[in-house]
Amino acid sequence: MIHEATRVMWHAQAAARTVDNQALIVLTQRGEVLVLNASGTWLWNQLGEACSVRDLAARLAAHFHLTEARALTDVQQFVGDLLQIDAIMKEP
Amino acid sequence: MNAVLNLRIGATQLALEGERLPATMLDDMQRRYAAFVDGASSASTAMRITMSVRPGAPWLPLRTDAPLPLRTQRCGSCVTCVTPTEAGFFDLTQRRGRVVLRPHGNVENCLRVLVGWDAAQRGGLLLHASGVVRAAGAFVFFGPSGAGKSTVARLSAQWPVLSDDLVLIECTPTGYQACGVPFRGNEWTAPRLNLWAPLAGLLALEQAPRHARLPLPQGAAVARLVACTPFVTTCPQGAAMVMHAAAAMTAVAPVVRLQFRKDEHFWEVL
Repeated sequence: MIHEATRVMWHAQAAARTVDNQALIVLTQRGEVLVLNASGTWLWNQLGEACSVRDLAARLAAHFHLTEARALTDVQQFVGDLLQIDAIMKEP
Repeated sequence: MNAVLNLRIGATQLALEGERLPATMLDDMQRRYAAFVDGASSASTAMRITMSVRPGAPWLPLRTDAPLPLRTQRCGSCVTCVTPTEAGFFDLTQRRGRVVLRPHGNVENCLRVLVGWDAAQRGGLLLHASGVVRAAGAFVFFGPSGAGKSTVARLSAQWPVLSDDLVLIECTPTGYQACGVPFRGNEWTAPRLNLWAPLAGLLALEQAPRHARLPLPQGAAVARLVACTPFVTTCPQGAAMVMHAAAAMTAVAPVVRLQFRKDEHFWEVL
C-alpha cells in the first residue's frame, strides 16, 4: 500500500495529451499507450506538480463528493498502478 | 565527385550521397527505390545524407530470436538511430545527416526512422498500415502485427496497393494525403507504389468472425494511431508530436473500427 505522505508527479518518460476528455499517456520506454477514464484523467491532471497521496485523495473527495476513506483507497490504487508502469514517479 | 541518389518519399526529399561506398551499393539502392527517384531532390529543402561503410563490431547486440533492436533518440533538432548494423544521425532543421553502415547494413533501417520523424514534424504520421487506393481515395488499414494488414492488401490486389506494412499520411494544405513508401525490409511482400491519394478512410483493423464497421471515439482512435506509429514515440518529445498530429487528423478524418474475417467482402461494409 502506498503511504499517504508519498509525493508523486508525472514521470519524465511519459508523454500525455487529453483528447475527448480522456488522458492518453504514451509510455515511451515501454512502447505502450495508456487511456485513462474520467476520474483517472482528473487525477492525472493534478500531477503536473508533485502532490502527496493524502492531498490528492482530499482533492478527489472534494471534486467527486466521495468519502475521504474511499478517495484514499482509490488514489492509493491509482498511484500504485501508475508507479508500477513508470507513468508517474516519486518526487526526487 | 561522389554519386548522389535523389529520392522523394511523401514530402520528404532526400539526397543520398555515397562516400567510398562499395560500387554496387548505390546501384542496388537505385534499383530498389526506382519508383521514388526524384530529380528535384537537390533542392535546398532536401535532407542531404552522407552514407559510408565502416567495418567493426555491431553497434547493438543482434539476437536472431528477437526483432531488430533499434534505438532512436531526439536531442534538439537532431535524431539518432542505432541498430546492430547502422548508425544514423539527422539534423531535421539543418537538413543534413550521416549514416554509417557495417558491411551488411541496410540504410533503409535509418531512412524509415528519418521519414517518420520528418512527417511528424509536418503534422503527418508514418503508420504501420496497409493502404488501398479506390475511386473515393485512399483507405488506410492500421493495426498491430497480426491484425490483418497484409491480408487486406492481398485481398485488394485489383486496386493500387500503397503498401502492406507502412503508409505515410501527409498533412497538406488541401487535406490529408496517403502516400506509398518504398520500405520493404529484406523480404518482398506487396509492391510499393509512389502514389498519393486523398485520405478516404482510417480503419482500425480487428479480426472477427464477421464483417462490421463500428464507430470509435476520438480518444481511443488517437491512442490506436499512436500505438501504430513506430520510431517516433520512443521519446516524450516525439510521442507528444505524434499525439498532436493524431488528434488533429482524427478531428477531420474520424477512425472507424473494421472488424473483418479474412475474405474480400469486408469492402461491402465500407
